[in-house]
Amino acid sequence: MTGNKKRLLPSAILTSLSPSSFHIEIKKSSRGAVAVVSGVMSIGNFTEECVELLSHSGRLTLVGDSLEISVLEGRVVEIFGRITEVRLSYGKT
Amino acid sequence: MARLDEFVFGYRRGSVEKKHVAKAANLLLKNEICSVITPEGAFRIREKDRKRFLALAKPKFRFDLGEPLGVYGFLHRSRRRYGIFAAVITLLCICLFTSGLVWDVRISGNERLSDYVIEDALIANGFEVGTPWRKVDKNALEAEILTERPDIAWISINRRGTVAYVEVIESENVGIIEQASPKYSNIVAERDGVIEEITVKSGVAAVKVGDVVRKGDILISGVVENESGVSFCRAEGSVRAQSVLNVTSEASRKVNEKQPLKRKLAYARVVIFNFSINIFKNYGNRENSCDIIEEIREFALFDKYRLPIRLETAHSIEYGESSRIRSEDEMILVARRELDGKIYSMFKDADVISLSTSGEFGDGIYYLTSRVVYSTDIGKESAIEIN
Repeated sequence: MTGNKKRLLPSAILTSLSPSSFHIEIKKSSRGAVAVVSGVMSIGNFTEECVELLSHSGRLTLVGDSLEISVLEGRVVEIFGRITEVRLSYGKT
Repeated sequence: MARLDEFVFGYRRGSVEKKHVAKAANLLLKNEICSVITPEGAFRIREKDRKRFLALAKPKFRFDLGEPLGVYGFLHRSRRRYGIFAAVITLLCICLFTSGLVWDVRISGNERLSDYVIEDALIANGFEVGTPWRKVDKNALEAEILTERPDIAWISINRRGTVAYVEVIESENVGIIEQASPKYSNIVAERDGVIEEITVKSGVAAVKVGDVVRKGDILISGVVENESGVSFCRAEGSVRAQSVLNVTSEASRKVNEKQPLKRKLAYARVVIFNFSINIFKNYGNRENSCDIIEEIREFALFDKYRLPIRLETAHSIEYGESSRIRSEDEMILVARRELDGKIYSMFKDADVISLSTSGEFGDGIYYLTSRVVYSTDIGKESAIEIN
C-alpha cells in the first residue's frame, strides 16, 4: 500500500461492486408506487403497513398501506402499494 | 395479476399461515424463487419452481398449494380431453390449408374495362378464388395476360394475406392507329351538298358558295399555281355545305323481348372509409349472360351528417326471351323513338335546317322515314400522291 493513492469511484460503481450495499428505485404505479430494492439479504418484518429489508450494511424500512412483496431472482425484492415513508438505518441495530 | 411468463408456462397459488409469512418470504428470497407474496400469507409461484419450493418449504412450515393455472394449467387439466386436442389440431390444419388459397380478388385501376373482364382474363389463365397460392406463378401470369390482352398495358398481382390485389393500367388509344399527316393534300367532299361557306387557310379554293358538289369532288386544292409553275402544299380550311339525307327506322309487329328470370346477389360489401369488407361474393356471374345492377347505399346521421360507411351491393339479373305482338300505336312509338335516337346521334354536330317525316305500314313492319336537310362541314383531307 506504500505510495498508492486511494482511488475515489463514483457511487453508482461502488453500489454495484460492493456486496454490502444496496440499490433502491421507486416509481409511481397504478397501485400507488413500486419500489425495487436490490442487494436484499433477508426480509425482517412484513405486514400490510411495513416491510423491513435487511442488507449487509443496514436496514431499509418501507412504511405505507396495502403493501405486497414480489421476490425476484438476484436478491431483488419489489414492494407494491401506497408507500408513504422510506427509512434507512446503518448497522444492524 | 399473473405475469406473462407465469400465465404461459403456468403458476400456482398457495397460502401460508400469517405468522410464517416473513419466513416464507425469506426462504423464497434466499433460494431465488420468484414469487409474489402478501402479508395475509397468499403467494404465487411459477410452475417450474414448484418442486424446489416443496422440497425446501415442507420441513419448515405448513402451507397449501393449489392446482396449476394459466395456459399450462389449462392444458394440464385438459390432458385427458382428447377431443380438445383433436379440435385444436384440426383447426390448425384447416387454418394452414386455407391460408394457402386465394380467398378474394380485388381489382383496382380499371376505368374502361370492367372487373368482370379482368376476372375472366385471370380465370382463363387459371387464377381465381380457391386457387392455391403455391401454384400461382405471378410473373408468368402477368406476362400471359399482357400478351393476351392488348387493352391492358400493365398488370400486377400482389398477395396480402389470402387476398389478391390486382392493379391494372389500361392501354390508351387501343385500336386507334394514328395516321401520319400527309405532306401534300387536297380537301375533298365527304358527301353531296350545296356549298354554304368556305374558309381557306392554305391551298386554293376549288369551289364557291352555291356550287353543287358530289362526293369526292375537290373543295380546296393543295396544288398551287404560281409564276414558276406548280407547287404543292397541304390544303387546310373548312367547307360548310347543305345536304339532304333520308333516315329510316322500322318496328316489326312481332317482337322478342327480354324477360327477367332470376335476380341473384352478386356481391355485398361494407366500405368503411376506404377499407372494404367483403360479406358475400358470387363468382359465377358474367356480363354476357346477365345484367349486373350495382347499388351503393350511404348512411347519414339525422339525414344531415354523412357517415363514412356505405353498403355496396350488386345483383345479377338473368334474362330469357319471349315473343309478343305489338299494337299499331306501339309500333309507331317504337319506330319514332328509334328514329329520334338515330337523328340525334347522326346530326349532333350538324345544324338541322328542316325535318319532314312520313310513315307507312308494310308486311308486319312499320317504316318511318325522315328527310333531314342539314348543314355541316363536308371537307375531308385526301393525300396527293406525287410520282
